[in-house]
Amino acid sequence: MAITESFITRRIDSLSIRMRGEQANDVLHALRDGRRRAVLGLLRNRTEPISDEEVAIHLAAADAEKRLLDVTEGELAEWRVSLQQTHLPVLEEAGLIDWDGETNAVAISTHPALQNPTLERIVETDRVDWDEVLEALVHRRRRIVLSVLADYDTALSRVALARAVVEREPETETVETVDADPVEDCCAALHHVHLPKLAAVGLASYDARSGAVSYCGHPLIEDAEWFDLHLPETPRAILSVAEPSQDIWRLDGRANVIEHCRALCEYADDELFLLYTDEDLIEAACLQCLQDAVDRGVDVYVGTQTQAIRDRVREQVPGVTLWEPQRDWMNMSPEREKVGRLLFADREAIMLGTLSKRNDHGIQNETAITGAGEDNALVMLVRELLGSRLDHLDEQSADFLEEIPF
Amino acid sequence: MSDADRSPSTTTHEYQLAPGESPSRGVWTVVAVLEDCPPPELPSLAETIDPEALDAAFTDRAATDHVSFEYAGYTITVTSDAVRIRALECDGGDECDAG
Repeated sequence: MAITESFITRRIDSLSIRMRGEQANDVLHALRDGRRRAVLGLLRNRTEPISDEEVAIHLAAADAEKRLLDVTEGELAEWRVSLQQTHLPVLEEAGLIDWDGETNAVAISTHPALQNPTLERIVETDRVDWDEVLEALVHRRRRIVLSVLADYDTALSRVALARAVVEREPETETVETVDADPVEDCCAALHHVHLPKLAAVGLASYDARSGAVSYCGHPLIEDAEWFDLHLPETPRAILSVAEPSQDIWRLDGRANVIEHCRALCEYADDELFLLYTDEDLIEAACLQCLQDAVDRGVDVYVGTQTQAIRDRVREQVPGVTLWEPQRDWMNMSPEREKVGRLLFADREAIMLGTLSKRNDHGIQNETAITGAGEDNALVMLVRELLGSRLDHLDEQSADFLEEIPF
Repeated sequence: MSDADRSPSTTTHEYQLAPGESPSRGVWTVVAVLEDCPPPELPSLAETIDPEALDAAFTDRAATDHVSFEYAGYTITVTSDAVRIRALECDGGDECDAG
């Protein structure tokens, strides 16, 4: 038979279509395999990294429903190879695990997606159809389709859906051709690719003849939360850049707080500024420290709204300038932790103590954070906040001095 | 387009994929041209072949040379950069119609 050839060369040079797979979501792609979900399910209950062999043996046992000891060499080897060659690299690529290439130790990562309740449910719930459901969701366009459909109670026409999808897609998503209308192009892709896929897993229903599309959803995934997962495509690196800081220390327990209090009082050369909210916090030892500071020539200011504290300080450490804070800024809701004391030495070293709620025995635990150095962020912040007040204390205290009966 | 479009069933058309264009998109685009109808009015390609699997077969790492299948009354042969299409040989019955 004679074959004639005609060439349709509708090659459009300006056509720029995104690369295939570019819009696939790494996290959903990683989750769409049952073995990878099992790895995450295992690791998220561990606090320490474990070896890939240990992962393999646990998953092999769970898979074969047998005890760890009964896993055969063959089963273990098969799992190890599939983990090492296929699954761990995919999980690592998606940023969901940390995998030490040298020691082969694996651990769950700090990827924010792992905190997403929907994804947690997907990892925790063993369902045979997750693979297909997740594959349907891997494509961003299909997630957008579902989010559009979920907004409507009734069926949408294919064209109306395409129009809404194109509107919600980032501009780079749209195929730009000299002759292809983005909505028409999207409409064709919906018909040939995306809607059949969503219908196959029951997430949407699609009547190819009439073009009517409607939403079905998934029993284990709530409508509002999954379609715009807002999954970062790459993990945010906040935790990896934050390092344990030596600038800010945390103190636990009343005794440690008092000890640091004493150290700060001794440290001060020029000025010592204190705020107290709770009478219990003024211990005899503290008052002695204040007296020592006054004796060294340090200007000591004690601010409190509590009359009892003022009376006691006035009586026992007469050299201290008393000050009543104009604003009740340290007395916060009694249900929460509140600031108990603030010490500011020479405007360059600080301690902020907080009091917990009283427990059943009426005991409040005290913790504190401290910072030192002129450039310390905490010191800078408090210096700015208190700055003007610090400079006007003398004036205000004069009023107080008048009230003092002796 | 001339007579070639509606020529006897032995005509083979070749469509060059645009850079970055997926083979599946090429398939429904070229069939729609031949059938003179909008792509969404063709039978869904998904009923014949998984379009994403088809596209994945030609990604860089895959070594597929070509994939052939029948769709909407045509024999389609897809390679990494082109879609070749030939009407199925038949006596003009309904099964050769796209709709």
